[in-house]
Amino acid sequence: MNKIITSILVLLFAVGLYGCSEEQEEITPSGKSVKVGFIGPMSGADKVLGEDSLRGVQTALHMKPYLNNGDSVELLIEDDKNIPQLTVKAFVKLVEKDKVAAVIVASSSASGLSINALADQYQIPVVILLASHPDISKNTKFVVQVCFDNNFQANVAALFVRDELFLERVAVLKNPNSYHSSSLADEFTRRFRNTEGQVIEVIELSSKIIDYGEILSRLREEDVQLLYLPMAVGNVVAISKELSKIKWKPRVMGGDGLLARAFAESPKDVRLLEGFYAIDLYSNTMEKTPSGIAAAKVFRSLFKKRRKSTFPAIGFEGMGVLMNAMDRCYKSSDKHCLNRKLHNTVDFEGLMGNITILANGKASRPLVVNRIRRGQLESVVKVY
Amino acid sequence: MENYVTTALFLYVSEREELIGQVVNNPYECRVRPVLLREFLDSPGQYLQQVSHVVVAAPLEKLKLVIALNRGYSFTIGIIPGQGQRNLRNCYELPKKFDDALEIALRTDAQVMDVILCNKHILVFKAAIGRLPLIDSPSDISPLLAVFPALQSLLGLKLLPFQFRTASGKVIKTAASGCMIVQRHKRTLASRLISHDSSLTDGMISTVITAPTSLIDYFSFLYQTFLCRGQRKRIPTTIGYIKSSSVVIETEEPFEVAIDGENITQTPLYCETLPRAVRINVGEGLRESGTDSVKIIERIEVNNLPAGRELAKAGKKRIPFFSYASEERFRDLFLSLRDDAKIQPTYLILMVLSTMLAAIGLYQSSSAVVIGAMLLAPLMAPIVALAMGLLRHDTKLSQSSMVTIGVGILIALSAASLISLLFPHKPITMEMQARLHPSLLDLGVAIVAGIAGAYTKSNKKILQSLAGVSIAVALVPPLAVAGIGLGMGDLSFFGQAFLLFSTNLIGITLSATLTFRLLGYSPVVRNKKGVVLVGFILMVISVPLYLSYNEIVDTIVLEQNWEKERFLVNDKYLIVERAEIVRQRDEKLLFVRVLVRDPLTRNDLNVLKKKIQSNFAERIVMRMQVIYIP
Repeated sequence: MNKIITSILVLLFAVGLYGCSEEQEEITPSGKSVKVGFIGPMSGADKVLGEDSLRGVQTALHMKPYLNNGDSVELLIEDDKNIPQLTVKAFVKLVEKDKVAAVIVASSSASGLSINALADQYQIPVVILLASHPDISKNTKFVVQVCFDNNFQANVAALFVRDELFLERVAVLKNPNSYHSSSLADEFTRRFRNTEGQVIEVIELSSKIIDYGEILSRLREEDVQLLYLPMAVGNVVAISKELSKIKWKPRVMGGDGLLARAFAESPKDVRLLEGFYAIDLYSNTMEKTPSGIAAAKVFRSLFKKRRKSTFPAIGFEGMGVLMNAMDRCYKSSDKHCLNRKLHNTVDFEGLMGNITILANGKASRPLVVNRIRRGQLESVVKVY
Repeated sequence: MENYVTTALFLYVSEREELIGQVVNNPYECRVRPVLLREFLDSPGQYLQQVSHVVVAAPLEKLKLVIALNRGYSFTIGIIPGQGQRNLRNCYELPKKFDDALEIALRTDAQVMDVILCNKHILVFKAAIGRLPLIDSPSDISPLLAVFPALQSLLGLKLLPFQFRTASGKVIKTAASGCMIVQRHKRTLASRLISHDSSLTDGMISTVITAPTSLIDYFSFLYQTFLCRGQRKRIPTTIGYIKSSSVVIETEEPFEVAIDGENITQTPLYCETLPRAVRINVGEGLRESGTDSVKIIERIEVNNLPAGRELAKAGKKRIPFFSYASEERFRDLFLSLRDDAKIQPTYLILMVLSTMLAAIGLYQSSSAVVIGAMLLAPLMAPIVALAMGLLRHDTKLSQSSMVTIGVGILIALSAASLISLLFPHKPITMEMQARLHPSLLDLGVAIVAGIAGAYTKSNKKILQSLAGVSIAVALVPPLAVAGIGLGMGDLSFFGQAFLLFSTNLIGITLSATLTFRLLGYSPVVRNKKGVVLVGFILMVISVPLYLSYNEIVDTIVLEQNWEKERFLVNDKYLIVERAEIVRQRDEKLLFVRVLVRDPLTRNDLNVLKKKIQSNFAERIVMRMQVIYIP
């Protein structure tokens, strides 16, 4: 009797274990590989973008070393220092010499824009990771933008300030020499005014020597409640220092990746940004999808020394979207099929929500509004 | 300087001759003559002719020789303890600092004390026989230092036959792991466990006997020893205490006896007191006055010690991990459980009434009425009886309680079905809903309730708490819901509610069985097959409960996260203020409350619906409450 009961228990346990284990189909390696190019700033002032995005790409490849047909992905990395001319050069080399099947670009909008015509010319699918310019995928059939664009994020920023923070009077400071800064500032201003909010002043900070104190004192007198600063980390830190000097504490919101870059590039200055908001791709304090949980675990195990940056997230998602398209093509290096499938990505499980690539190459995906609280990056809301 | 002696001898050993200068040149105007102790012991009369006070700076065994001399010569003794004589210092409450110790040693107010002789050896602190885990530790030892050796001595601890004979001729036969005679017990852990009516001149000997009947008992004893710092009204259950002017301790085989830490004699041990035999200068804390007025009588507190048939087992086995319940307690409980297991008219009537009450309360969605039904329900008693039946392999008790439970279930299902059929409207209220999704948490409640049920049942003083246990575990309402499901012809409804009842039934039975085992109602689980079967059923029902639990956790996490979700729909910013997911039958309902400034069109709602749905793997039905913010 005891033996029978023990046997039943063991059987039940075994069945339970089997039931609990995830079903994973064994993939037989084909011995073939598909070449994928990666262009990003691996050196220079913006190297954090390239290095961290590449880590995300490598995490995705580590988690899925073979495509469903058994092919592996061979990654060819090119450094463009975030300079458009170098991006073009790297792109041509990857296509003509290395014969890659697709290219992932982790550079800024100017670099992204510089190759969108080439993508059509060579008919090579391009996955843009970080560039948020609204025209990245315009007038091209071979470029997809995994990141949200400036219009969406500026819209969210304006509505968040208006409807979530209930603020009415804002001032916008922008760098007219940066298209990214200008487009965000303009879209934010337009949208904020549409919601019957008051943009008290839009200030262009073009010269190198800027008297922030004078500008900020003036804005304080005008009873401005929030400063929208779609600017580089250095500028925002300088403004923050000036705010401390004049003892003024307005709400501050930055552009995409401001806080992530502050953590990555200038961690000692993070304390100066206490309470600042910024749009971002990812937040570690928000609920992740199952893929997000698995990716975070692998990422931590692969990279012991890492920056507090959100850029690996977009690298992981971009590579994931590309491999998802490859898996849906009979021949994973078939560029036309890849491009078609990329533009037909529906509800791909990203790190914090699903990503759908629309017919125009833009991504419908969530973004997060982060804030620095007690020196840590904290998510405030997630917007779909 | 009238508080200090005018003349004294300073008796020292050669290792402490460096004290001579300080003692001789004392600030108390006392003329001190230093004498090597060895020389003094050779001819004490020569030195004590003109001096009636001695100051001793010597090891304990030499001090005992001086104390022994006191019987022939009348003198007072001052002591200057050395650095390593912590026990001696503690025993007489003497200060650590030399100057302070010298001040006390030269005083005129020596304390009269009894002397205890054990097999003719003078006992200053204590005599220990056998294993005395912990209680022979000094009281100022840190718990960690005391517990470690105590745990070591637990290994192989046995209760061995002991016989104690007091001065009045009373003989106590018992089994003990060891015993200890305590001279001055204020500074030992033993002093926390026994009464404080002793004095230095009461002519009595305090004997503490340790007899833990199980390791659990012993751990409980450790807990009491360390946590109960104050004086105790009653001694712990593992301890016996004898106070008499003399005591004879006998064992079957000779035991080494450690007197003041030295193994110098064996059992049998004869200990007697020499009343008021010595006068020693002691610390303030030990000084006594007016003890003559206290009438001291012999005390024997050995009710907690093994006696009668239990002695036959002494020495044969190591003490077990669990205690055995006393037969008296067990008999009372067993009679009560037999009554509980029987089908009695009151049981049947209460089952019908509680089910009817529960069913009506469920239809009313009235928590108060449902709780009333829980209080009225008599189902807990036969389940606890079943647990005991399983533990002791008492087939009669098991069978009768199973029949009683079965009949109770049938009555409840029938009564609830009937009420359901009589009701023209059949709403599914929140009270019913709450009993349709059993999870591991319910199993947790059942297990804890089973433990509480068995514990309260075994202890008459807290029997009234059983009502609280019944409310916590709520046996009848799930049965009533299951009955309503039957009445409606909805087997899924019935199944979910009956799963909750089964969870309670199995959880209580198993945990109550193990609780009775822990409380010592059986040395082993006798009906192992029965308990394994219950465990197996528990495992089987745990699978759906686990899945249900996971779903609940996922839902809670999702609902919390949704409070941070926002949607940008056609340039309109929608704030999710609250989200709630409810499963109804096979459908998942998502209730969302949304705040928005701009008016929403049908198209906006469709886009929103698509965005929300894309984040759920399964199809969901959405209900949305839109609040416009100005």
